[in-house]
Amino acid sequence: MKQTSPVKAMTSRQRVMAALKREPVDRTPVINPTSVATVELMDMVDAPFPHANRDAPAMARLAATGHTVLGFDSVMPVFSIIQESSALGCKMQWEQKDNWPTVRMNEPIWKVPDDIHVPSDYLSHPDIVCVLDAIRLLRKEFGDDVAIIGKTMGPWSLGYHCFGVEPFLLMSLDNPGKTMQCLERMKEATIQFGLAQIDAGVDALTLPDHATGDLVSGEYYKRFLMDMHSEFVSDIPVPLILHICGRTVDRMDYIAQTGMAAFHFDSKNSPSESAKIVADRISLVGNINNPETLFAKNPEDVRAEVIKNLESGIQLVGPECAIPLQTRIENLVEIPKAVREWHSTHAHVHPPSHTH
Amino acid sequence: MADTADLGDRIELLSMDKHCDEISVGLYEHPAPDGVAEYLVHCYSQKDGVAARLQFITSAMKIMGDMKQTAEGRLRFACRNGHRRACQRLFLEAGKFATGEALEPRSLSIYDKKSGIDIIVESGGSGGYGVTAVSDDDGREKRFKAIAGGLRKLAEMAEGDADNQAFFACGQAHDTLIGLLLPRALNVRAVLREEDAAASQGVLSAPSAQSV
Repeated sequence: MKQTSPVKAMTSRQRVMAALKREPVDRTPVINPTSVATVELMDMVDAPFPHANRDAPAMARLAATGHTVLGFDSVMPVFSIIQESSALGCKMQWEQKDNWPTVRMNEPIWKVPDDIHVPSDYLSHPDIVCVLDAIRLLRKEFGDDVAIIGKTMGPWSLGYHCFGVEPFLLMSLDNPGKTMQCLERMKEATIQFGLAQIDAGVDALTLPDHATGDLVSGEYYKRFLMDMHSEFVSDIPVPLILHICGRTVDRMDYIAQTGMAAFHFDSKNSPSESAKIVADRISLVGNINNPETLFAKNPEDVRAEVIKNLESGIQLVGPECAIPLQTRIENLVEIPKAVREWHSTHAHVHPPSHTH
Repeated sequence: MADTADLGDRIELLSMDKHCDEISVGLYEHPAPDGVAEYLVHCYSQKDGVAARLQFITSAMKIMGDMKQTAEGRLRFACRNGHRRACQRLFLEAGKFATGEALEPRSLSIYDKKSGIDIIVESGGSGGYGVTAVSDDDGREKRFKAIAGGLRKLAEMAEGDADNQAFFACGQAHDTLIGLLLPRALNVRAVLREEDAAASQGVLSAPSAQSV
């Protein structure tokens, strides 16, 4: 820990943007690179799923609660991971209020690279327009005060959705060249949606690309995705937050070389171990456990995890992934509360990663 | 921040109430100044009909579980014990009734399809209950034991000297609560499966972990 001079009070947006650049902050920001929507928040603003995934005003109302009710420094309207896949023509299961919409991956729409086609009216699809309009509504509501984070799915995730998980993984084993062709073609959807969200007003974008620790190795990440993720950094001119679930320490060194602003990491990776690997080359975001801590435990358990992250020098604190829809509000509000209280007793003391 | 009243700890949730516009209704636990656990039925929705629905669920918990309502609208057991697990089950069962449905405490006897006999639960005093049959019927001990085990699981009751017994920790009778739990105790595995399914509902999996 290093003593530094006080940083003057920042707005939520300033705080988030500074932390994504690893610049000094007045306190650690609390953000939600993925969803913090819950069924109770849906009730509070009359914006239930699946409606809130398909109607811009409802989407914006629900996203706003991340700041207005929970006290996070960011809002994030793209709750699900399926908006792009719906626009690409995947078969959807929109589900109901208390469950997530999903893509019917057992009914894939593509089999070979030549099948891949990003429609010319992709950005006019209602499920894309909904997100863009919601971002505009949020920018109008929050002005420059709150960071707005969007989301654009990476090509590996789109591959699962459009080819099916098993066919896509088998293709990567049997024919890496063909897989690269697919990724190259699908990345167009990632870039187009990302740029459209920037035009609509986002400050940063989460880029989930589910090369998850359970199915894909670190070497696979390097081989198929590392260079492409570097290209995204050049092609999409806002801070990018890469999201990959699971145990990912075997690829964090590669991720840290991509130029991404931050990595949104899972609680299967310890904060101190992860911070050591990325060594200040990118910011780390997360890593409060969802299924056990936020969903099933109590505010004091949440607080303990928040403090563990703060003491490890994690630049932005938040849930590790989209939270379960039945998560208790009292556990979520504990995250910013614990951050504020920790900083009140650690005034002007920042971990090394906050000091340059 | 706004609208998050200090309700206490949410200990149970009906994520979609099919009897009231799919609202989400929570059961909150809060210790009263005298240390007794009290419970509140709450929903954040401002829609028409929500207040009446919450009132109905609260009434159902009073009638079907013999809970008492305080001046502040919270519920507690007269025995001053929290009986949290039983209260959670009571809340979930209360939410299954449509608003306005006639409510009355259930009987302590029930026909058990599995064994083909009428089961009766008798209070033995000191918060103890024994599971037996209405008529003399030998060879059903395993079934009585299973049902008593079901009651113990559903209400966090203690074991007794005999396998067919279950005891409330407070040492007091809760006949209406036993009457409510008895139909569920006949097939407690189904209840546990239902609870597991409810707990996993709404958890977003990575695409690689999804089954559709």
